[in-house]
Amino acid sequence: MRCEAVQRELSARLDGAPNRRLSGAFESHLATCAPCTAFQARADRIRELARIEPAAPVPDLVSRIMAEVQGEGRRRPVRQLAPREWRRFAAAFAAGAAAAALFVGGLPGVRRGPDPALATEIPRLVFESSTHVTSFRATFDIKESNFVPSPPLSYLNVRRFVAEVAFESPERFHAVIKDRTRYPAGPWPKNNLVLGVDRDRWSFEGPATCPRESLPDCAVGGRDVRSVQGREPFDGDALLPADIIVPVRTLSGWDRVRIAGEGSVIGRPVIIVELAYRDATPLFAYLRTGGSWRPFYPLDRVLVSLDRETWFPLAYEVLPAVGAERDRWAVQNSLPHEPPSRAVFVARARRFDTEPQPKGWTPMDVAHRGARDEGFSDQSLAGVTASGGYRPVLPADTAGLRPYRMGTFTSRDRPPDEALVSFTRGLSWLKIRQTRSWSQPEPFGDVGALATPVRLGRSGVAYYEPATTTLGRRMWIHAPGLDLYLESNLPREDFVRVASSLPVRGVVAPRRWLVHRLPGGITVETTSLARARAAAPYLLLPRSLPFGYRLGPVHVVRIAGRTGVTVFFRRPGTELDGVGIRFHQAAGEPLPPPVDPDVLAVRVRGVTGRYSPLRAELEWVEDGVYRSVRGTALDLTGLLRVAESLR
Amino acid sequence: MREPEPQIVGRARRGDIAAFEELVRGCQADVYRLALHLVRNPTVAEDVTQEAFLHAYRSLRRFRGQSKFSTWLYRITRNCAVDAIRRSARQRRLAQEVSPPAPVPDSSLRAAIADAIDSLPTELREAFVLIEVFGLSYQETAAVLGVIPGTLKSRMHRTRRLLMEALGEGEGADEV
Repeated sequence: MRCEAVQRELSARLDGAPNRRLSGAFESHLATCAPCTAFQARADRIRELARIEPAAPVPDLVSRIMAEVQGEGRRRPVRQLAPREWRRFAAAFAAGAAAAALFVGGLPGVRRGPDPALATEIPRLVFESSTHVTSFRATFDIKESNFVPSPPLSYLNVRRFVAEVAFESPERFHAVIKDRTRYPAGPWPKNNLVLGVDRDRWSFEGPATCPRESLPDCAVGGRDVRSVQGREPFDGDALLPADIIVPVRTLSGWDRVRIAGEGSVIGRPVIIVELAYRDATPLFAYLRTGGSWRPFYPLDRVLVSLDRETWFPLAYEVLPAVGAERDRWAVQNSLPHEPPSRAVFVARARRFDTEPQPKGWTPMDVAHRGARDEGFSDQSLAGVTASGGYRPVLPADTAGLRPYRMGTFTSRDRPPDEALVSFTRGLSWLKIRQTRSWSQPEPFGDVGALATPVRLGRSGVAYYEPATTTLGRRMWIHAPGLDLYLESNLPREDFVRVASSLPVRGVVAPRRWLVHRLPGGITVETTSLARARAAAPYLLLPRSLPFGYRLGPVHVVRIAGRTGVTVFFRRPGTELDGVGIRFHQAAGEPLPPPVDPDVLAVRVRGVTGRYSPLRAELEWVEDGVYRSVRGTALDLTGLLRVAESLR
Repeated sequence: MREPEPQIVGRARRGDIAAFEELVRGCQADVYRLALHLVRNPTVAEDVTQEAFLHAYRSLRRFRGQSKFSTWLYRITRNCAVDAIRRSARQRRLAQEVSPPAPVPDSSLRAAIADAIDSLPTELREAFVLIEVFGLSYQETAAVLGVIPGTLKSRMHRTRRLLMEALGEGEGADEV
């Protein structure tokens, strides 16, 4: 067989049209012919280059086309190009300059200035839309850059995926991520993932992972298969990544979202919002369940294109943050220098609809053997009442949510009479766990030391903690003979309203509940600022903080006889950035050994301090007092500014 | 392009304007993209998209479902784009007299391949775009372009060789 014929066949095979009558001569020629092997590699590379081209922004032409179509009866002529436009077009043709117009970023072009009134409305609009979603199907094309920096995966080092997502409210979800990357020779694991959620069952299957820096040598093959049964409703661990459908959690606080403009994706008008990756993690939750992915810097910028009508995220991309700290982080994470103008991750809907799922559709296609039992069993209200020996209290106002699953737990480390009731509508949910036999010296439920009291009117006092990446907004209520834990993705004011309609009267928690005992003999006591000042007279507080920060919890921390004070400042709308800005101050404590390998010496308040970029922490010892400021939302300049304002 | 529901196409054929609007909504992005690939100018691509749908609206009654609706619509789009390119060839001569073309300096490989694709003869470029960029099969592409699949096999092979040469990767070039 001649090279010409082999290369012609190679080309056809690349296009999915092999000649099935071809003899073994083709394979044997290819195995020994260097020019033909090179042809194959070059053809692959051209495909990569041709397909790497970002989809061009698509204008919405529907109304324009329909105006023409409806005018057909009146025989209106097709709009003619103005001579000026024709000249531009023709000149572009001649110069090949039109290519430049094609290669503008992966996201739709930003057309008009933002509507300032809209920013504050977005969380409410997104939430309202989320309550109406009963069904959703979408296909996303995903591109990820620099998964492995060296040796490059391919010439441009881009991995490509296609994600198929299907959802049926309230808790049926299926996502398949297919790895379309052409890996070089070697045992590169295909990053194919399947995630399924079906009420009380959850399953995930992906490749067994190993550090991406060591690929492909560390790959041992095998699959990572996990499944859960007895899943409680809206379980944060066996997560249904609802933000991929409507980013309710991601956009729960408007203060960290900036409107970047408008555009269009798959012909639909979108609003483009920008936020830090750290605040957008719920949008990436479905990718982070397993498999291997590149890391993102907390301050990398995420641009999300939200469909104006449905608020579905039709496209989102990650652009590297600017600055020396970002560059250092990249080096530590085995990433090349990443210019801030080039997206390193792009997910873009190819299609979506809200048609009901077909009959017989099942979101569970992963083998369900050996599932871990989470211990929740669904029951009727009568069953729950009989099992716990009491009738669960229910809110009079459910913010429009309808009763959903309820049941009890079989797990031994839970109160024997614990009951759970849940409510839902679209993607919104609320669950209430309750027990009448709580005897532990700590609050009932998944709340930590950062809860702050809120008044519930006639229902007394509750302790509220904002959402995290896996948990919703939470509240615990301690009432005589009854302890409740509430969790929800309702907006905070709605959540508080629902809690206020519970027929209970929450009381102030026993003081010892506010003392957390950590390993190593450390105690953390939640207290008031006045008490903290009394315990630590050297305590300084910032005069200047970035916009929107307010005093949060205050802790007195005792370690091996020494006392320190931690003061938190948070933005009320901020749910996911950890703890806002945290000041820790302790007398007589030296600078502890650095936690990060990569720390910088900086001048702060007249002494030499230390900055840890990864922890976003600035530490120094001043007049015998160890002080630190930590805030993942701040860069070094921001940390120095608040440090200098301490009085 | 997602193949529209046959019922929607059927309703549109019977003159249901709302059904036709649904078709426009579902297909306009892909029609525009194909047009843009072929004419290489966003403004003209918008006009080609509009013309293609207008044409589709007028001739929908004659669509008998022998091919997929998407293939049929791609074919119309391609024909409208070819018309626009022909029109522009006349205009181009005029434009060159008005303003001399300014080359765009961009040495990146992406720009190089974009230029190389641009400089392909139309018959090669349209096949390349439909197969490589839009991912159509030879059968579908053949239906759009009105050629036999065997022709596409030759065209794709020729196109790949031309692009390799344009990128300095012809025979004898270094292994990538």
